[in-house]
Amino acid sequence: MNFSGRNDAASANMKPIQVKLVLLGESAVGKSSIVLRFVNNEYQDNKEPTIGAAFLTQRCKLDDRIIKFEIWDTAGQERFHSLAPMYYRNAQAAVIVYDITKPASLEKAKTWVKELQRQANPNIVIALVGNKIDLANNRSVPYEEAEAYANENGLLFFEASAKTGTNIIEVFTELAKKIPYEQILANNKTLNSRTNGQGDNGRVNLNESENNNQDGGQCNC
Amino acid sequence: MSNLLKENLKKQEKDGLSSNAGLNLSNLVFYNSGNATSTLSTTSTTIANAVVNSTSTSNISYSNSDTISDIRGINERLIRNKSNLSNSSSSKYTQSNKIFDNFSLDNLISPVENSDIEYTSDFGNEDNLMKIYNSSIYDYDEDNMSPYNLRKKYGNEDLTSSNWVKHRKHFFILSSAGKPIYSRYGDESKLSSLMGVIQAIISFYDVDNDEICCINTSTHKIVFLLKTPLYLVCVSQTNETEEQLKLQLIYLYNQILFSLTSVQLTKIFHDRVNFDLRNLLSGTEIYMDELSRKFSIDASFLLKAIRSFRIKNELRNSIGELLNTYRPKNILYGILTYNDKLINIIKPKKQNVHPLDIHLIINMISSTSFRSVESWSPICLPKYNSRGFLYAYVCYLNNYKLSDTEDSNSNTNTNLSSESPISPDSSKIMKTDVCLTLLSPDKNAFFELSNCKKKIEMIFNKNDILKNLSKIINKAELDIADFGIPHLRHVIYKSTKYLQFIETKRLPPYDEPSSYRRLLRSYKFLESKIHGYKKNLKFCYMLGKNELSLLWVRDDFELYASFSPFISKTIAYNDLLLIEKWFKKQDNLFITTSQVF
Repeated sequence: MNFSGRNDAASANMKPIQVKLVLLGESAVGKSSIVLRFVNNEYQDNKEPTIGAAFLTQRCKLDDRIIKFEIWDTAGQERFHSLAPMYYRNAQAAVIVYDITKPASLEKAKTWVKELQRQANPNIVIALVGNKIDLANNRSVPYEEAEAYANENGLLFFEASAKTGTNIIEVFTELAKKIPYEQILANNKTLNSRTNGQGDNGRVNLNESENNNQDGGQCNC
Repeated sequence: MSNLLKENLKKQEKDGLSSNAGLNLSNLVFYNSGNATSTLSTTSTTIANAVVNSTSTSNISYSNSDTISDIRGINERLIRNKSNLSNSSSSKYTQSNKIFDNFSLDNLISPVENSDIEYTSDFGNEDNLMKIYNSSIYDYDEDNMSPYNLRKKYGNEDLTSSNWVKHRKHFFILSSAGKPIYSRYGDESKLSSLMGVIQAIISFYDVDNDEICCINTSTHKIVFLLKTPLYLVCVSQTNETEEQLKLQLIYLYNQILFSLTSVQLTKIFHDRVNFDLRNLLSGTEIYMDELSRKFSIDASFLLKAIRSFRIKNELRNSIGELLNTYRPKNILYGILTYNDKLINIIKPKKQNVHPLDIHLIINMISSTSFRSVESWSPICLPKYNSRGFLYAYVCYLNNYKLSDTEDSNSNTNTNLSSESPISPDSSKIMKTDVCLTLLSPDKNAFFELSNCKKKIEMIFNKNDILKNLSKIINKAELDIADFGIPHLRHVIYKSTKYLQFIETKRLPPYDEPSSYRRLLRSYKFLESKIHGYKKNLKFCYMLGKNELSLLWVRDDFELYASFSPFISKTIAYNDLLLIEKWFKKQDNLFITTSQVF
């Protein structure tokens, strides 16, 4: 892997490959903190919960390619679950996060893995990340247990800490290495991956059907 | 609740509601927790007693139900209740209740000539007012604490904690089935017994197709807002009026709709009466907490108006024009804010903006989770349409040097190695407190809106708008010195036409949160007098130990002001006229011509 600054002449000429990445997991496991550590190298204690989803981008250089991560950081709350397909459909990579101090969050992570395997892009590269290893004293999910699950399901596996920054870059690096770029490039020739990701109307969405009423323009006094 | 008990209570009511109501309630609480509902523990009895019935004399007001004739005895009760309602702030308190004796100012009113009527109060009032406040554990650190830390501090309290009872204002939300949904203080799951008591009280009147509205005790006011499938209750010792507290409950109710929509809410409880709504509301507690906190420290909620950002009309209009030019096709509103102040808004021609919706939006986007990302959040604006979701694109704008290449605003390169990421141009990007919110009905419109934001950010930087904004931020707040009136301390000017208001900078003594809260309390008191009074009151003043506060209401404006307590009301009144003249001359206060499309 090579270092590349923004002013690097080579990188300026190269067209970045867009990689759509989605973060999933139970609420309060640290999804937003992981992304903020990766994108801005910052960390906030007691972050307030994400509402809906947040979008961030980060360019990276891997070997001779420039990769532009387009990251959807989704909200973990139950009420946003129905919106998740909008974000993971056509994603090339997914980071599923759990909290090593909360066994229930690993169970939730497993249901996300199942959902992605069933409904997402079949070539999606998934990383399972156990966050908060800075709290290893309160650990209640053994490393081996999560690792075994990840191996069984063909997931990348890391334990990381957004607070200290441990292993955060590594998660994205390893993901970036495993993404089948040739396929993406081939797809990009025919479709713009960006707009492609949104044209899904196959799924009936409760929220959407309500929305249609909206244009009726109810009284606003 | 057993029928026997009901009969018993009804009988007691007939015997004389006004004097025995408190007794009734205590009976209700004790009986109920002892006999009927097995879930109620003995602790709930004592606490409910402490919260609900801490006095010997209470005053209950009901709403009147439409179906009067079919229920026995209800007519009589209604008549009595109506008299209770109308008298609620006068003589009854004075007989047995020392605090309200002094606080109820009606006794001290002396109408003066003209149609304007004045109120005054004696110096004793504030002492008593303060006594009430000091008796509670309220900690002024609260004003500087994040909602997260507040939860941490009070989140573990329950009915048995001695501090819990002392909080000045509690908010509870429960489902019609009695399941806890939200409590401002403490862990709501530990309060299920109290929720049971509340539900029992409500259903007692519900049997008669009646609704309980408010219970007054000597120290507490308990206000109910019944929005089946939700019940909202406020237990307050802040001396705010029933209407003011009810409005706060309405805000909390709308905050729930904001997250869920009325359709989803009704459907959930229609399908499963016992549904635990906390599953769906998790993560929104902080917004409820923030609202509950702001009710006491933010005048927006008293004035029911939008706080506007004061800038020159030309700049405001050019911002509006740029927003309108670069706006995405399919949006409802485009809103530009600076912190909690509105800079400008673009909207469809025939669509009005309701301040309540804007308050909820501003309350949401002040959360730290919206900083440094682009957000895409489904929200429901209850006053616009409580049935459906809109999608809010929220992004704080960056100020950056244009000498850089175009893509410098959004992207920085990182080498993928174990070294930390490098952000070469972070020094040139300045984050601002200017926030762009675009609302679209289309859940797939994110990238369209994001592109628009990029254009708007670019054009704002090109025209130095963000730079100009940051320059005038210090001057944007009204300074009391502008008026040239020596005894003047604080002014709020609300335009009734535009539903916007502007407030002077909080100079000493109001830089202290406790003094500012006191000031707002006096404004609230004046507001309740003006709007709660049948006659056409225009002018109202209250003299306290710390300040002389006034409220002047006309068709097109409301003017709140506070003066040093040592000046006479004549001087203050004349000054008020000067202040009003000054405001009339300004043209940079409010958004007067919002851009429409």
